[in-house]
Amino acid sequence: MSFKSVVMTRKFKFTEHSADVYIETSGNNLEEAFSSIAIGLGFLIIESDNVDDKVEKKIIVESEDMESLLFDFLSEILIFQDAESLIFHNVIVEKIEKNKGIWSLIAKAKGEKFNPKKHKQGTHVKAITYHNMEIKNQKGKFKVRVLVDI
Amino acid sequence: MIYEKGDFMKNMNVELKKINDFEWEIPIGTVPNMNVPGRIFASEKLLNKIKQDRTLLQCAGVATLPGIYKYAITLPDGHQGYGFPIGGVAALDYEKGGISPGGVGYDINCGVRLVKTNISKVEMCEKIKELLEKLFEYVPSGLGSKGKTRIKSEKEFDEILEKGAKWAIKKGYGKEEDLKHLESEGCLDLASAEFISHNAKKRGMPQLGSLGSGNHFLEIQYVEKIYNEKVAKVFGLEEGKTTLMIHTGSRGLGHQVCSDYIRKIEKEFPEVIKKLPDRELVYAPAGTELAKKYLKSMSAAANYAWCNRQMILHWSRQAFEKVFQKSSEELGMDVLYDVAHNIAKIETHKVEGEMKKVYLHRKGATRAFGPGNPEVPDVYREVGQPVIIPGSMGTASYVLVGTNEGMEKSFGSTAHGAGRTMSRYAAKKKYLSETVKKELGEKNILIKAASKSGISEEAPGAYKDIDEVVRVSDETGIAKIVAKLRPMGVIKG
Repeated sequence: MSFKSVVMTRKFKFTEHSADVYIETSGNNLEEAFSSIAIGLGFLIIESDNVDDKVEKKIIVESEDMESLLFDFLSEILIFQDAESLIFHNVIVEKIEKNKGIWSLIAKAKGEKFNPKKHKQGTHVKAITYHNMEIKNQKGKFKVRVLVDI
Repeated sequence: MIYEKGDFMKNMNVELKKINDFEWEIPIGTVPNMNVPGRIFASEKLLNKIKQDRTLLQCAGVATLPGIYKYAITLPDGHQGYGFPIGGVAALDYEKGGISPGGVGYDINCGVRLVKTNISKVEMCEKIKELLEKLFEYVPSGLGSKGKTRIKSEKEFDEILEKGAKWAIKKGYGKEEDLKHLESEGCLDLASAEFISHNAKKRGMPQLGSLGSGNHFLEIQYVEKIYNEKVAKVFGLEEGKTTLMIHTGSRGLGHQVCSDYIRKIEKEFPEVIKKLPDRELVYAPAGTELAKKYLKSMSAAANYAWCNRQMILHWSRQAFEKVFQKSSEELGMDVLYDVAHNIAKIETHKVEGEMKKVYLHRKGATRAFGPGNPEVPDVYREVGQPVIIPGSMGTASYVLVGTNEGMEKSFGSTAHGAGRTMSRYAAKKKYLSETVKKELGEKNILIKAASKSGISEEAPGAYKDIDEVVRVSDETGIAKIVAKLRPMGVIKG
């Protein structure tokens, strides 16, 4: 799955919650679904379609279950947001696997430093939450939903 | 292993028992395993809003926590959060209960500071435009805003985490007297930087001394009405004089501390989650090492927030000095008070006649201690602690005073704001920033924002009625109204 296909079709959607916002998606496999959620997160932070691939970061996480894997993966993106002002609109999860009860994920995130003159500021995301988090396999499609604290 | 959670959340119907016109009970048994009832402080009007989301069920969920005393409280501004509702209080036994990062929230010590001035409304009208420009220039705000101060080393940053506003004063950001007028004097002594992750520090270091975005703001207001002359006099509030309000928190540092500890706790105590209706309610059991480490780290994040507000006050004073060509002393820019809205503290409260040591969680709630309490600064002790409740953008804010009735009824706590009725996302779709700006302009409120979406998200229509929220606080006696502040100009992050 290419970056373009996710962005062009906007596979993620945002839905409402009293104070916060859900990012939802479905994908043909977990990797695709997690990629779309991460890209959705990027578009929540910067709304304009002009975040270029100037920097690439590799993200590797290991967690005890699928939900915490998603939590940890997206938290890594927020660390880049605050620590280095890096915004990613191009995220590809290359591999998710479970080995001896441990879930692991490898992803490539591409983007650039936030530039208020260039980018349209969306919403600063404070944190990822577990609240009503959903990861399910529905007739071969992986549906994922996460609530982020804004 | 495919998850589907949230069955507990699906039933939205909660039967309430009426205690009186402003207090309602969620009976034990509403959800399984409740240890105490829930208690809602609200008028019928606010209750109707509260019923529209899952606030009541979340309140019932909090009542399932171990060692919880009296009842899980939802305040008049309560709205749905994740796990814990926002606008809530929970007292968990210090030995048999626990401490929950979700019961504090991701923005640790998000809070407000109110600063007095002797500048009249009329004088302010002439300069407000210029003042907003200067404040915008001097105080970093907006998405990914960074502080103007570069912290030299992690060692120095650790000192900030452990000393809070005291560090800022030592470095020349303000004066010694400022400290006396901050909750906990702007520094929780049990804070330690030792158990804070490198990631959390990485997120927080570049942001120290910045407003951020979201609902954070700087506001110029005037005192529109005094309701209680005696207390207003002690607080130094005078009708027609202007004030400055600062609303921000611990930025990325606090957010990461919360995330880190939710993860640590669930890894160490997986059996805890199994019993909970929502994973976000996870707590570190009392007496464990992790409970101690979270408390120390959360306190350090709270200190960061007090330091942050102190630095912002310093630059705000400089902006005032520049515009009014007078020193901040001549302008009478003294801190009235500074309160935390998201925090957990070890406190002692009377429960059924006995004093109990508890982890007191306030999530979207303001401490409101009554007269005579040693935690209340000397100058205010006779009347009670000042309580600052900000309205939404463009609506009034209020100063209240804590009561001894509140100590009995709500563990010395009251509401923290208007409380949302509409999601940020929905508000953004519904309100155009230009329209909001125009409407505020018609009310003579100027706005300067780092982003357009920031204006729409915080549109006044997205919030509950602040006047009604403080009226309930006053009627129930958990905190009494002292003064109403009307906005003149806002800087939005």
